[in-house]
Amino acid sequence: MTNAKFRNLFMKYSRLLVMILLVVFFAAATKTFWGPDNWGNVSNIVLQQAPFTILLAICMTLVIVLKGFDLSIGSAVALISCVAGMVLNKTYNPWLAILAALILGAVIGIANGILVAYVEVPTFIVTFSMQWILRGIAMVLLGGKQIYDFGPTFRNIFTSSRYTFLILMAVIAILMALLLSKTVFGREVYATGTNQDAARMSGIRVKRVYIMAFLINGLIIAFTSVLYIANLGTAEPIIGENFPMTAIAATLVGGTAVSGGSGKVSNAVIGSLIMLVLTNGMIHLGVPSEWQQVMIGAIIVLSVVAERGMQKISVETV
Amino acid sequence: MQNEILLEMKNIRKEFPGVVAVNDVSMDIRKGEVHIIIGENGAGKSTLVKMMAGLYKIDGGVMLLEGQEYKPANVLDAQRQGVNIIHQELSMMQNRTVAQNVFVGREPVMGPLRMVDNKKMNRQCRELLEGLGIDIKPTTMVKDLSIAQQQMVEVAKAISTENKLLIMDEPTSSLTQKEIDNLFRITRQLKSQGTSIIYISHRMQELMEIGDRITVMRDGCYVGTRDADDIEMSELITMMVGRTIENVYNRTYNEPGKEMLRTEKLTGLRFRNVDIHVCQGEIVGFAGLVGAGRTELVKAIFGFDQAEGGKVFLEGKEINLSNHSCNRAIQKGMAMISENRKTEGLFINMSIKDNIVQACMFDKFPNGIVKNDVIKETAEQGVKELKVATTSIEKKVFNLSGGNQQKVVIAKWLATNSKLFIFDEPTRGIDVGAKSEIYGIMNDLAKNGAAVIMISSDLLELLGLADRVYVMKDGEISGEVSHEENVFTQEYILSLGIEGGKAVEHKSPSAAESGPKDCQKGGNHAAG
Repeated sequence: MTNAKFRNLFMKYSRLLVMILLVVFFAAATKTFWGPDNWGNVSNIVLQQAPFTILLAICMTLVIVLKGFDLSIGSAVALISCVAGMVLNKTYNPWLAILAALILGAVIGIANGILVAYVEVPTFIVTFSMQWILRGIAMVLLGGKQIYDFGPTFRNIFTSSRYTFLILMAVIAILMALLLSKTVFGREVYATGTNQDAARMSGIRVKRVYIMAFLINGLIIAFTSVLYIANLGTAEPIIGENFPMTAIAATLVGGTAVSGGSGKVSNAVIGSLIMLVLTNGMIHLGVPSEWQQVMIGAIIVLSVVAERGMQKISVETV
Repeated sequence: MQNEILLEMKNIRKEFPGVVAVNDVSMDIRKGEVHIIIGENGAGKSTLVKMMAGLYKIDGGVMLLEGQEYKPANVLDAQRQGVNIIHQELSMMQNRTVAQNVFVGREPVMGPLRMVDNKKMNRQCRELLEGLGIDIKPTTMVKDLSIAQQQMVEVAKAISTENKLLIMDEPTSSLTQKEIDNLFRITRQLKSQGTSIIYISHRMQELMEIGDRITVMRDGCYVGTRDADDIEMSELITMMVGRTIENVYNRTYNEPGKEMLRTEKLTGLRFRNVDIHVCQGEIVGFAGLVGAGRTELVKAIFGFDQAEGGKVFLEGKEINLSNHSCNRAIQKGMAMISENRKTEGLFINMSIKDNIVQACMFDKFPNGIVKNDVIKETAEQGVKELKVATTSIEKKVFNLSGGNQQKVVIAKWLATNSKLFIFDEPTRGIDVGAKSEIYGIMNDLAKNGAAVIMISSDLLELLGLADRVYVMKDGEISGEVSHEENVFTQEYILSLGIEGGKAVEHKSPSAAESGPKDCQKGGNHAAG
């Protein structure tokens, strides 16, 4: 194998390598992170936490490929959860609740998309404002209350098998991966994120791309919200405050560049796993929570710098 | 005082990757003179003065300022030594006031903390502006000024420091007549104080009015300097043009077919009342100076910019301009090779393959699912057809030379089913070999029945390739010349672009001599 080929292969799987090294490190350094006695811990990460982080990171990846940010995902989850919870509480009909969630997600996505595409407000500002609006509405709807009573059937649909979250997440991840890599729309997304003017001149309807992307984003968030309250067993307006930051961290650590036009579902998946291993590992290691935050910040900077370094290398070798 | 030399340039040279922008230029600027530099687009004027102002480093030769070697490290260093430039492009801070812009970096300060003395700054600025007869408040935000007013603030800023030499790079391109008169008054005032002024301009009348001496540049070379008092306009134009046609075009003219494109009174940003038509099998050129509105016109036809009024017909069918877009233009069979290759033509960080399929994927994959083998095939065919020099279609386009990048853009459009091709400055910054290949492609397109529009600032290119040339001046069509006419010459087209054809039409005997056949055979070779 030539040097350049080896280097490309190394760069392609560098993040997987980082994750494996982290797992090995935490397994060796703590007695509680890994091992036959601790499978409960591992399965908790994989079955209960990973599906949500990954779904949110996929949403964020789609927007970051378009050179934007979505800061509204946490509030959107909160509002959609509350509305779905209210529907459940009133009707005990899970399918009606899911339908309501999807419709609301679509409305939020289209609203974001229209503001970005037609009013030409930067995604950062649009979603930053939307964050306040959505959580505010959730507060208005529920006050300080929580909703517990979802009826007899709803939670059973998702929790009768412990693998349901993982499987549903995998289905969405695969669909998104196919959408981005195998469709004209996927190519339009990458082209628009790379260079909006060139995209327009090549006949790509840039405005439509933004609206479609935010619509898909909203639908996935709606779906995530349903899974979230099924997992949690309650709906309340304060959930998801740190979701945007977690999702951005996972996306960046996974190797998606904020300069737009690059980033795949696989980046989102691996970035989420690295973040989960890191945060859980540090807890098992007994790192004080203040220092955990410092570490996470440092890891994000480090991975962005490393990504840039790798891009330079690849420029030289191609 | 008049003949004392302020700045002397000896064998100055400047290269950019692949181009010699300024080649062995020697000239001098006298104290207290207004020195005009003229030449066609790309003649090297701006590059030359940018070296004087410390914006570019010289690659060869020496500059002497009052006898001392002059090597400005940057713009500030040049300003310290008394050389100041007013840019062609505005470089004002839009969200700051006029006074803050004028005094940036040298604000009057007060007190031990050296706080900015806003009162004093605004007063000094008002005095300065009043002295120049400019009616602008120092506290106005620059973004609230018109382009012309901003230009005048730039002038005020430049002359608020002590200057030995003041360079104005096309200062009048956006000014109204009143402001031009004002600028000339200021110029004379400065001149009487002993400041030398270099003036780059395309407006010939201005030159005669204000200039002491005129230097002509062409293709990066120095052509000559004349006293403004005893030179005819026609002689200047001949000096600017200089060259004759090289035989690289090999144009095969066809009988024009059906009408492909027609506009009626098309009006938009920087162009007005444009009536043109283009037929199948024709190459129609657009000549004119930079800023004449040519690019804006074709961008509106292509749907990139919104047109404000008028009509566009494609193959006899009217295009609905209110919901026109690039996407619709492409579906109707238009293709656009943009003048901004790197920002509008290409996805510079993407591979050759991904660039080539970008405009044809709607056609090739109507159900929205991409087939990788079709993409690969399309890209490979494009690379082969256009002889793009590359080892792989996976290579990123920023690794390619300018010529190969342009071929990738053209390949993108050849992969579509376009019938009307718009080439905007297709050969700018491209080596000679790639140029002639691109000429070949355009000729073949026309031969196979496509309609071709070609904007170029290289008149020889237009004369060598075009069936007809429209000339634009200040947003309007100022003339149309067919290759079968006697006046299908550089001199005549240039005069239409600069003067609207009034000054030189009857003065240019050389125009009458060179018949249309010359253009086709193109036997003569370059003189300069």
